[in-house]
Amino acid sequence: MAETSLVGSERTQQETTVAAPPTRRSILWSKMLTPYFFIAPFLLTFLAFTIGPDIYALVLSFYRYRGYGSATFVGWENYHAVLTYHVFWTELSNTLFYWLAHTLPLIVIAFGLAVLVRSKVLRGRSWFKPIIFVPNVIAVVAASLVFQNLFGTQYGVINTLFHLHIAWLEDPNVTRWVVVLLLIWRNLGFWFVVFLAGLTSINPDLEEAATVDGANAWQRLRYITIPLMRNIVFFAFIIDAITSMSLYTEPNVLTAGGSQAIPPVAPVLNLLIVNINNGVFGQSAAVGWLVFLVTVIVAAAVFGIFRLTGEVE
Amino acid sequence: MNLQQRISRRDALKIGAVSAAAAGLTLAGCGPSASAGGPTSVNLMTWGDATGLKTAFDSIAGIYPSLAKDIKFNVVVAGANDFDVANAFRLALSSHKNIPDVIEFNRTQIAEFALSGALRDLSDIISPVKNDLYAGAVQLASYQGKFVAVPFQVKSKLFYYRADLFDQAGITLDDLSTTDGFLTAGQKLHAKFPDKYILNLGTQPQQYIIGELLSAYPGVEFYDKASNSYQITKNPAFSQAFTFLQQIHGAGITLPIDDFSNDWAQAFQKEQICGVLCANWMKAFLPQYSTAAQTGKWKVVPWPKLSPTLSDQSTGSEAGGSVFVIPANAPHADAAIEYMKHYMLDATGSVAQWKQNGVITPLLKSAQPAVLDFFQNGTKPANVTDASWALQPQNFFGKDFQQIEFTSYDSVKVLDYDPSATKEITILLQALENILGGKAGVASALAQAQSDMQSQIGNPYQA
Repeated sequence: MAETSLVGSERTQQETTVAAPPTRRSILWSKMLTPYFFIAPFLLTFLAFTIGPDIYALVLSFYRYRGYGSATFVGWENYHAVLTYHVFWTELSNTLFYWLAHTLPLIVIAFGLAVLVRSKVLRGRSWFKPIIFVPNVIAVVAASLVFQNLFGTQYGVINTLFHLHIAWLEDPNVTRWVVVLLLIWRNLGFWFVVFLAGLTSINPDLEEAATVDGANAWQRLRYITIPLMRNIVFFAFIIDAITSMSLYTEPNVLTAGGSQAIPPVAPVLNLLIVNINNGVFGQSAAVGWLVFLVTVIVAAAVFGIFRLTGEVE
Repeated sequence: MNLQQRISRRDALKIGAVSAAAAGLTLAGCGPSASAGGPTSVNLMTWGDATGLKTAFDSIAGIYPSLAKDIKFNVVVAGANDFDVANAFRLALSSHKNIPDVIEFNRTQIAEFALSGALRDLSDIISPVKNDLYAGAVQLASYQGKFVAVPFQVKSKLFYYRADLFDQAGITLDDLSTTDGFLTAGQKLHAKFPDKYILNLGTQPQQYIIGELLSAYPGVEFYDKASNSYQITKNPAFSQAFTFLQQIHGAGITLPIDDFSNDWAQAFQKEQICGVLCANWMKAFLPQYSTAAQTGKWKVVPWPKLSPTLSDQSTGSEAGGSVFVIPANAPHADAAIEYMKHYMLDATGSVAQWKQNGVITPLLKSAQPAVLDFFQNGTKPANVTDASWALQPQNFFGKDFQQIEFTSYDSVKVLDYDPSATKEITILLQALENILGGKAGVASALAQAQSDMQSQIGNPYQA
């Protein structure tokens, strides 16, 4: 190593000395921090536009605030008001109903279609894929308005064609099932594509081997295909459950056009929107956080069911 | 090699020049909206479609060139409905930024902002024309004794009915003056024409029916400040109004279709609905739904009294109407006031915009002769199609329509709305839906509504 003295000719030697190589510690720090630099843009945006507003909403839920002027701390009053409001429980039960009633048929039909389209039984498979996916591409408002025309009581297409007089969109007990039908119709294409991609990734050698061993189509499906698809099915149930908790457009546009659906049909987000529209932001924030809590519970329940059945690794 | 040594002096000067230019452009954009001597920007916030308001400004500026010279008019559409406008204004007040110069509101919404001091006092411009405004317009402009708004569109109560079918069924307007008479007339019409009904009323009515019925009662309010309590179960107006609706819904005289539902327009076209207890704005919808084939068959009168069960229903208003307000902190309040003075508060200006748009009827009595003259003698403007002209109120309902509408303006009574009026009406509507859906009786539904208002709103005057 070079001398550290800076006197006379030794300075030149000092200045031309090559810098010491990086230490092991600095290499480790560099390796640790580099990935964070790459995800920093996302992290900063996420903090600024998701976590930040969420924390603000949580704080706001303990205040009475019209969006301007002074905010008054009210403690748990907003949560108490929401939890003791019968409309909240009605709309929450509607949301849970829409989720439970549409998820299972949706996943089963989408999976079945994917298996069918992938099989060699069906001809013209390349035609079925875009046809099944088209409803997913249609704007949700447009789809809801079309269903409104189909299911009108007096002059709807269904009642007119089959000479019925069912109050599809007036009787809440019936209207909820129309909403379920709309949800299944619109989301079928998306999960069909997801399942089809999953099925395509299954090694065909496994099925060939099973065929050689004498397994029929049903046995191959039950003992090879379905077990290998379990993670994707689990993903489908979880994602669908989470998005179902934030359902808003379909019930409202279907039953009320540009207005709000009545409570026997409305999802729980309607209460949040009503409070926002009326400048009751504290209660609106409370509804939002209660919906978040319900979403966590629902997701945990789905997780738990899959773990219990051993379907998740 | 050192980074500093890589950037030459020339490059550093270039970077500095570009940065300075960018900073200069940014700062220039932050300056006042009008340069000295240029027109002043007036921003008007509304909902829905901006076309009518822009056309109105152009027509008024054509008559008053100084307006075109001094004002650059911008219309900002906050969203699809009045809730969006209210939320946008709350956001502007919260951030103290982008406060518009003029805002269009529904009359139900101004209580909140008037009580918080967010609205400018407009007594200076309303008082000079107060005696020239219709009584309903004066009510629209005032809140708790102060003028805080410029009336824009008065919503008066009008009853539209198929005069030809009423004649065939032997029904006169006098038959409708009592509640029992109305029920009997409805049964008579349905007996004569089994596929037709005197009204439509489903299980999910629009909320304006509540305001229309309640506003006829003197001094009705949702919340009584003196006793700090809601009046839903105490004031008989609520039970009487809701009982009436329950009665006509259960009597088989109403077509079970709701207003603005998918089936509503077709029901008019198929001539199933023979009467509409509604507001003056229905003049824009009914001709389109019924089509020109029903021209001359529909007549218009004020609401029947429907006494003694209800308070005189020929008076009142669903929600008063819509108004323009000027925020207390509007950046260009003077220019905004100048425009408002030439718009709905000036006979010439208000007639000019009405001739262009055909929708917003002038609210000054001094403008009435010009409007009536146009109704009687006006010819089709070049930019209006024949089909559209045929559906204009004077052609569809008859030449006497406008005089009837003008007369109805003086019968307008505005409910004494409190700052939580929109949420209170939402809760009342839920009660009405339960009653019409057979899920609750009137008394229990109103008791539930009162309880809900107490738990969800509390004191609406509390900040």
